[in-house]
Parts: sequence; structure tokens; C-alpha cells
Amino acid sequence: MPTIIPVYDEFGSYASTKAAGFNNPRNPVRRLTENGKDDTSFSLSVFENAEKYSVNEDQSIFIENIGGKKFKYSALPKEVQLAPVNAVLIENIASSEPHLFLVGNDFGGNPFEGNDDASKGLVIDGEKFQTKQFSGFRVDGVGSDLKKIKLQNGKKLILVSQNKARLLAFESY
Amino acid sequence: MTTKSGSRLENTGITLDYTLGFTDPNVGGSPQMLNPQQMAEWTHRAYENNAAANGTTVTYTHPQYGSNATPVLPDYLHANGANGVVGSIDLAAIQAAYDANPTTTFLIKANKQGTNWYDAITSTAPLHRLSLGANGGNEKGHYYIGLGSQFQDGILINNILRRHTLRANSKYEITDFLSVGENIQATDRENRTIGGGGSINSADD
Repeated sequence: MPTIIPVYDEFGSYASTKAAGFNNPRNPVRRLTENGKDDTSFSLSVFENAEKYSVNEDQSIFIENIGGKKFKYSALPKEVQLAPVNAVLIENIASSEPHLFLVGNDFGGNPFEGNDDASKGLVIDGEKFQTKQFSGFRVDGVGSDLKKIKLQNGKKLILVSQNKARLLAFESY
Repeated sequence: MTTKSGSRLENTGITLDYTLGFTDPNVGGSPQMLNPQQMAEWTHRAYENNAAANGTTVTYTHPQYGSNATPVLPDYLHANGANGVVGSIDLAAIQAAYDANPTTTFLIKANKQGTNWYDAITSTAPLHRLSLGANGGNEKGHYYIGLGSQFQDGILINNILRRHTLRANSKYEITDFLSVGENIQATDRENRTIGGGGSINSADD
């Protein structure tokens, strides 16, 4: 740390990185003082008066911000709870209403636990909040992520990646 | 290591120990660093060596020390976007900019005397150690209970170790061949060191 750099700048915060030509030094006093605190990457403690919430929950749930610092909590349908959910896509691909596409499973469990393989891929109606039967959306393996793409001819596809299995593409009709 | 325990022969006793100590970071002297003038001169020496090695004309392009062969220490390292400012600045304008955008406006004055960073991050560190023990017994049984606390700061600022321990054991002879008793030890420990966020552990056995 070059000695020409002061500990504090003229506005009272820690001096260092803004002065050019010193290879982006990190103020050691700041580093030690902020050690063990949360949210140290902000130059101003913008989270000082923030209220922090955390959730401990075994179910796959849906939390809706209803305003006024309030959140509405609802468990996803019971079909979702049969297996871990790895990725969710919210899309109005097949109709005007948004639908939730979920993929999951986990084959990495301990030998005595076995594989979590109950998920076959799910589509949930965003309005009724119910699992759609006969959707045609089927992912047998460990679904790791899903993305929507638009083809040149205007068709929309949902791509689903699986661990150690083929990439799947679903088209709405 | 032996575990303290009550003795059948002893009478009831209470002990209290207190230790106070200090760690001084400056016993070996603080490390010598380049002062601002030396740092500027060696920075310009680097430009000269670089030009000599490449066979080019030397140009001094460091953002802080000016473009002349003799480096000039700036008055401000950074003043609202400008680096290496020599002379006075429009303090009122920068203050106004800071009031408008406190997260993106900076004014860093050069410390021409040189910052003693070793002093800035170290301090004399106290150590307190306190232990309280009680034991007793008779011909049929004995007990010991001990409480201990240690508060030890590191010489680096914000480095701490806090530890509280409890130890208890007792033994009671029901007959010549059967006795009951227990041996308990519990520790609560908080250690905040550089690089880690600090942790709290406890162990029971």
C-alpha cells in the first residue's frame, strides 16, 4: 500500500481504489474493520437500516411480493414436492396466461438414499395454480436448466438441459 | 494433560486465577516503507529503465507524478474524476457533487508525510484470562466444577478470540465395587481472524 495514500478520504470514507496509478490497492484498515460484517462491498452502508428476512423451508414454495413489505407464501402443488426442483421457467408459450415449467431430480444422493427421480417435468397453470395433465412436457432425467428460444420462423422452443443425458427441445402446438 | 478433579482427602476449596497480559506489535519495530517522495522517484526510475531497455525515448506517464523527469507529488490523488491534481481545487463544487452523488464522488488528499500503514492496522492487544474453580469431597465422593474465560485480542485490529469453558466432574462410591460419576466439558468459542468471517463453535463431550 503506497504511503502517499491516506487512510480516509476527505468525506470520511476509506481511501484507496479511486486514485489512479496504484494498481487498484485495497485499504487494509477497511478490510480489517469491515471483517466479519455483512454487506461490505458497498461504499456506503446502504443496508444499514434494511430489514433482512430468511426462509427455512423444506417444500418448494412460491413467494409473491404483495407490497407494503409483505410477502404471500404458497406451497407449490403436491406433484412438485415429490422431487427436487432445479430450474423454473415462467412463460406464456402455449397460451396467453403464464405457465410455470419445472424440471428437477437429483441422482447424486448417498447410496442408502437412492436417486430422487420422481420428477418427469411439470407444467403449472399460473392462474389456477394447478399441475397440467397431458401437457406433453416430459423430462425423465436430471433436468438442470431450461430456456426459451425463438426460431427464425417465429416458433418458440423450450430447451431443457439434463445432466448426462440429451438436450431436449419442446415445441408448443 | 490432566483433568482437574476433586479429591476425597481434600476439604472444600475455591480457587480464583486472573491473568492480564499485553502483546505489543512494535517490539521489533515497524517495517520500513518507501516514503511518498521515494516511491515517486522509483516509479519514474522504472519509466527510465523501461525506455532504456526498449531503446525508446522516456516518457513519464504515471497519472500522479506529472510528465517531467523530476516527479511532482500531487496535492490530491483523486478529486471527483481527476487524478494527480497539483494546486487548489474547487472544493465547493466537489462538495456539491458529493451531496448529489455520495457513492460516486471521491476526494482523496495526498498524504505527503506518508501513511504509516503498519500503525494503522495494529494496536497493542490485551489478554484477560479468568478461571474460577471449586472442589470438595469426603470419604464417599468428590466433585470439581470450574469456569474459565479468556479474552484475547490480536495485534491486527478487529482480530479477537473469546473463549468460555465449563468443566464439571464428580464421583460417588455407592459400594466398594460400584461408583457413579460424570465428567463434562463444554466450550463456547468465537474467533475472528483476517480472511474469515469469524465463527462460533461449541463442543460437548
